[in-house]
Amino acid sequence: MTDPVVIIGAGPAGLSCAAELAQAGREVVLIDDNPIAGGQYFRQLPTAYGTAPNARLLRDKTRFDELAKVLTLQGVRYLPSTIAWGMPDPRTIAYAGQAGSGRIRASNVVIATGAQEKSLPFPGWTLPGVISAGGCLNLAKAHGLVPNGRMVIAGNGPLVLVAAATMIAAGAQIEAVLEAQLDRKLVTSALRGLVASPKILATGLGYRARILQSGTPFKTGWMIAEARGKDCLQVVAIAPIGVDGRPVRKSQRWIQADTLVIGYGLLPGSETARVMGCRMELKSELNGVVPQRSAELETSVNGVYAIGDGAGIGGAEIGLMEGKIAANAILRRSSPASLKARYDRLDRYRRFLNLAYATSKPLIAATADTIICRCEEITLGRLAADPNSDGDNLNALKISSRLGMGRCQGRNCLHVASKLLGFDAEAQPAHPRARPPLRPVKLAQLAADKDAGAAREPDEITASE
Amino acid sequence: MRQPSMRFIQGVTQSGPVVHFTFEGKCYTGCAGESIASAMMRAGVVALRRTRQDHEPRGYYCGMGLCWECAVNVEGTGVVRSCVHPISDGLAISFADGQLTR
Repeated sequence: MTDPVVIIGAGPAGLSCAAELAQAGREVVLIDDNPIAGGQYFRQLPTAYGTAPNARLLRDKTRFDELAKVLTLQGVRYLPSTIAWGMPDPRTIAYAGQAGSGRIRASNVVIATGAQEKSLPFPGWTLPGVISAGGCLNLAKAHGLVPNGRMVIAGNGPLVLVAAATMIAAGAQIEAVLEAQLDRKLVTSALRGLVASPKILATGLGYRARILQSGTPFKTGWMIAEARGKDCLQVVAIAPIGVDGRPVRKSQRWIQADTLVIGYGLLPGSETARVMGCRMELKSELNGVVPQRSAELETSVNGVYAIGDGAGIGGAEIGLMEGKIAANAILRRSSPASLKARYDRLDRYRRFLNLAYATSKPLIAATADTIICRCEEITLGRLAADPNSDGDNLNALKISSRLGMGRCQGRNCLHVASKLLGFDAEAQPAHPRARPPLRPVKLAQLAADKDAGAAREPDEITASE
Repeated sequence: MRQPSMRFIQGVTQSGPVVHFTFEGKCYTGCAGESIASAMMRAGVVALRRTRQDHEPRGYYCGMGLCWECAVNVEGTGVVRSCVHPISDGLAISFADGQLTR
């Protein structure tokens, strides 16, 4: 009997891949960290909640309900609230979660782990009341909540528009929306979107129109400079962006705010691919370090595929299509020409859009006293004073400073520390080493793992391939 | 008590039973199915944890289970991410790190 295909992540990419495989009769195991499937784009309210027809929510429930039917299909084993924490070899997935812990043998592995947010540390960014753009969208989508009081939204990228439109719809009181990139640099991407994806362009323009109609001030070329408050956020400083990519403090304005939403872009969440020993590369048009992939989306490790935002930022539509393309490759059949054509068009556009939002200089708002590593409470000044701060070696800096050694395992700080210290970005794909457990796992769950054995290091896996 | 920092969006309804829980010894109520973070923020609690070294307040941040800034200690369960962990009746919750009083 053939081993099942193990898909890690039940967002748009993972669900669409599972559906294609299951419909063709292939056994699928779908592992997801979240209690409810859908990933971030299709994040759902708790099942105990209801919604009135006029509920002030912007969401895509109908499409999710259709997509989620795969979870009930014969041959699909769905493991929610479960973490794929290690891959002792490229065909074995170690998992732990509400359904217990153990190892699964896989005929193929599909990595669909999604994106994470790019941090932009600034003085005061750790205060309660300062939330990320994804956190803001999840307030509405996953919790049905809207913040009371005044709100400021600042960032760089399409998520700024989505967060602002969602919060306006939800009834938030927004004082200002700031996009770091200048409008004139975004006009060309709008024109290209007209050809590549009129639907996505219309959605984006719709968000922009909603912001304009609400009378919310929308400024481009401005960024966040500082946040202050006693025990929680009270006031924020915003400033135009200088030629050095830093806020021009002499032109700053202070605004009273209870909530500050920061969304300075998305990064592919690449640690699963790295721990599996996939060859990685830095692709600025995909917003970061991604696994190298064939046209069929197979990584350098035979039989291991990477799809969706974790393999390059592109959003839900790209993820849905990549899920189908990878499934077809696993099923050893070719994808329909129409799917390939639509994918190629949108793939070119997302690469263009990612570059269009890139600012000419990296944005920096951190000062020496600014916390960079939120878990271990390490400031930029302390990092800069570390002997390993000028070696282009994040691994060494991590060991000497404890940067990235807390519960988030460096997801919030490592990428930004490397940028702030001026590390050579090209030297980073191999560093820091991704190691199991990929997420915090309870010792009790490890102890209950009946199939436990030695966990090999990623370079040992690569060497034995 | 502080003003609640969050409210339910108009049109989002809760039909389940009210649940009672404690945080650092104080009593709160929430809705069935609601996350711990959601119930606490609606009650006006924004500092969900205090950092170990400097006892700085931290709250809900990434909302997707990545940052662990909203970590709390649930009696009998251990440290959980309050943004994804549902509230239930009788839960006794405390700070995950450090102490509120120095």
